[in-house]
Amino acid sequence: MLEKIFVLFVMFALIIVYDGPRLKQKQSREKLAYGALMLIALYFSVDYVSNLDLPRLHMVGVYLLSDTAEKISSYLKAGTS
Amino acid sequence: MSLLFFTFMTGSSIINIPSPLIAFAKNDAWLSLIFSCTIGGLLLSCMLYLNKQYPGLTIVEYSRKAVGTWITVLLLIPFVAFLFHICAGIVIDVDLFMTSSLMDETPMYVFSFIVLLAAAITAQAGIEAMARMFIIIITIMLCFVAVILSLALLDYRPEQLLPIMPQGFKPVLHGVYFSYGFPYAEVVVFAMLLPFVRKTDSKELNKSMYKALVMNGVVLIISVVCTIMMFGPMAGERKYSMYQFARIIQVADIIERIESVIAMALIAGSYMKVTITLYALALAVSQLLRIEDKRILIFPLALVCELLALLLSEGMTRWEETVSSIHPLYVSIAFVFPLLLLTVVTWIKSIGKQSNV
Repeated sequence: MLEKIFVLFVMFALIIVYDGPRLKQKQSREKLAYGALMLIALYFSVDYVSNLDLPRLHMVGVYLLSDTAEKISSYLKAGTS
Repeated sequence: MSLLFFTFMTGSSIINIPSPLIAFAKNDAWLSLIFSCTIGGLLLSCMLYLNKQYPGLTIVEYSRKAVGTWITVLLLIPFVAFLFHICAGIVIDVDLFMTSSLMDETPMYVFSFIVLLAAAITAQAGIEAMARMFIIIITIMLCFVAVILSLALLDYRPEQLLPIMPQGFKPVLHGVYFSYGFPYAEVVVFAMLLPFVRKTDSKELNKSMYKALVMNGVVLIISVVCTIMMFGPMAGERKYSMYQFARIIQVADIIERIESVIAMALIAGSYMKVTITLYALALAVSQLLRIEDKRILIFPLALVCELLALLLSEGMTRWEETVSSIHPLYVSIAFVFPLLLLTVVTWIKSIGKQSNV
């Protein structure tokens, strides 16, 4: 867990050190979008470090499509070796 | 643009496609590729039609014109989500390949971090720099693959290609379902990039894009056919059959164990594809949020893709199942449906305009 936290800290630090000075010159809309993306990254980081399996948009897709996908795969595999 | 298109379509698929496709379609994998390439061609024609109707606009911009802002947001949220999925997916493929074949003790985040860092820096440099750099890398990559395929010429058994369709059309259809999902339906990513074509080159755009698609089809069919001729239907049982292919090549005790060349080709191809996808993703997000400078978003987007890749890579079997069964449906909803809807709406509007005139 400490290893994961260290690696993520390095990634976040590199990005903030590089983008920080450039971000100061940007408009508020760009700063908001940047902040929102970093918040999403923070959310995923917490999920990755803690293994909590927190909700993600990908899960919606898998939940909605997995049954249909299973039926299609079964139909296509049926009668073949 | 056609070079970027060819790079995107061929980049990682030349290594990743043969094994699972042969697992589904057996000896008829090459037939599946012909059908899925045709579907890719139809999607490309829709994109080129929309590019002609709305010159200089990306799918986000002409979607706003065609169907309005709110429907655009509804249509393009899955589009953007799937761009994240493609980025993460390419990186997962690299991670799983490296940890299963070459460096099993190394943590996955090392490979994904390196690939995404390089991709983010390249995407920041812009599309022209990407095209100029990729021409060299793709040429070297294809030369490596061609050399490996030709070194094994004496070991091919063409009889492994027969019989054709021994279990009917269903295995071919299964192969089409898989290869449509990856890579052919992903051509829609270029709906974000076509406006970057220079005006002087726009007349030749259609022809060169179709040529790139056909070349991609030919390259993939050759790699699949060579893999079948080498391993037969058992190629589907072997993970990364092109890698296994390179492992068994031995020429006069001098040239042997050249599988690291395929590893380099995979990483190079994946890096190029993830760079293009990351660039398209940054452009899509910046246009949806009406932000002028997309470059400032590239590193946070790359970080999100990195974390998604680490979260989604729950094991090779589960990932393979997701890619082979869910991915084609997901891409249909996220990419194909918006493209077809916009094509139909634009076509109806153009007929309306003509009848008014």
